[in-house]
Amino acid sequence: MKLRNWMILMAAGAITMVSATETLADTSFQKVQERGELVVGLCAQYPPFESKNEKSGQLEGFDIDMGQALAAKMGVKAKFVDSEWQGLLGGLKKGDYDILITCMSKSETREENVNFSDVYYQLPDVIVVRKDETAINTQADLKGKTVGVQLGSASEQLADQMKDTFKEIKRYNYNPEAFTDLKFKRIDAVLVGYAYAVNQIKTEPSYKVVGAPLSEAEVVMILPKGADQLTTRINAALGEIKKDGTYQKIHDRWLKVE
Amino acid sequence: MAGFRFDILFNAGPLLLEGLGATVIVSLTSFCLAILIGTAVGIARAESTRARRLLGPYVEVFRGTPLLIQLFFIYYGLPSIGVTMNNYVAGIVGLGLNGGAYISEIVRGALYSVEKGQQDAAAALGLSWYQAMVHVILPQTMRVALPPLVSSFSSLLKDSSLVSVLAITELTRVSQLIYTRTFRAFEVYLAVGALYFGMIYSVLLVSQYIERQFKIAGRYGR
Repeated sequence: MKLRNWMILMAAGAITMVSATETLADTSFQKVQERGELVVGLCAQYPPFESKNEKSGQLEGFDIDMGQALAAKMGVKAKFVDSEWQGLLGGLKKGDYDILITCMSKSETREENVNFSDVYYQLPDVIVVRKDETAINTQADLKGKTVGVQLGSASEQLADQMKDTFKEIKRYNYNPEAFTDLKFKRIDAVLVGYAYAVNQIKTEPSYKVVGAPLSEAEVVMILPKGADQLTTRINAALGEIKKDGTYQKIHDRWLKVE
Repeated sequence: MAGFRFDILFNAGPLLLEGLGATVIVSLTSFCLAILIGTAVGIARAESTRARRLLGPYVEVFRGTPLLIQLFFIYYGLPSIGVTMNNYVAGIVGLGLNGGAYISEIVRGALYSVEKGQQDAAAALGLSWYQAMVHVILPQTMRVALPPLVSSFSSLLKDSSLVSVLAITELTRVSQLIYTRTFRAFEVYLAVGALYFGMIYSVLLVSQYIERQFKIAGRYGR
């Protein structure tokens, strides 16, 4: 776990160094047009935003449908590439992806090093506990408890802000591991994005969400620093799909609760 | 705990197969590369003191740093100085160079087990250095080098799971993807563990066969 932290730091450092040397003319959108393909990087471990259907082997989710809709508005196809979370920003910098659409929130990376699209979703973080848990009903009840979060996530930053009240914060590479530890009582609660929590409870009904949402993360798409042309186009396309109802349709398909 | 659901593995069959394929391609190719590098470096370092000093840093750097850092550096770092390769090539080069460093030491150690008189005797029979190496010296090192080489292979096969940071959907990554969707840690990781074991065990069987071919009368072991 420690090692991974270091790796993220090193990757961030490398990205900063590279970005300092880059002053080329911005051809980001022409490149996508010539290729006829918008290459989207994501980490398919965050349903309902993105995951790989274990039966069909296809990627699916809110971000997938939205990526396709945005690409269609720009007259190109979308191609999705799954990668480990730790490799996403490095791959973006290197030019493997045109854009990351992977439910990343503004606070999960640094604006100095990348371009942000407009916010496309407001994701509240919530507290998830075991279904039979009676001692934790609000945020205040987390005092002295052990909570789990995903490494590098907005939930982790949230937990860090409140860390004095917890007994311990356990950091996991991915949320499913945190949920397993919760199930086997090695931790008391998991802090996680609301949509993800709801989706997991559908798959595995031994959890419940308690208390009020903690804070809202601003979810954005991430583009390479200086890819201003493409960023403008993406924002325009986002505006269009919001206006013509496509966004709402995609939202209702994946993120509608109850 | 609820009943086991091994049916999810059948559903996920194509996905597992895709991951298995990537793992096999990456580890077999990089192992071949590692054998080539390892043999060349091992022989060079056993034959000449200058080569031993010159190639020392290669061996020490690749053995002395984490493979994950090496992969990150090759794939994400090197493009900064103009060396760009695709993810499979980067993964294979990284694993190959890393494995080569370990294997070169196996080869060097195995060469030390052959008496110097063998090379002299081969020369007296009119064999060139190269002929002597291929026909006399290396066959004798096989018996010594094979057991650690199998260990190297099994390490490399398992280390291949790290190339998932280069966006290669190999077996370990596939198991995580299935787990994310199904929450079946027991079934998924048991099955994937069995697949890794199966691959390593089949290589072990091949090595046992080769070992029998290179048996030397009068040496330790039966």
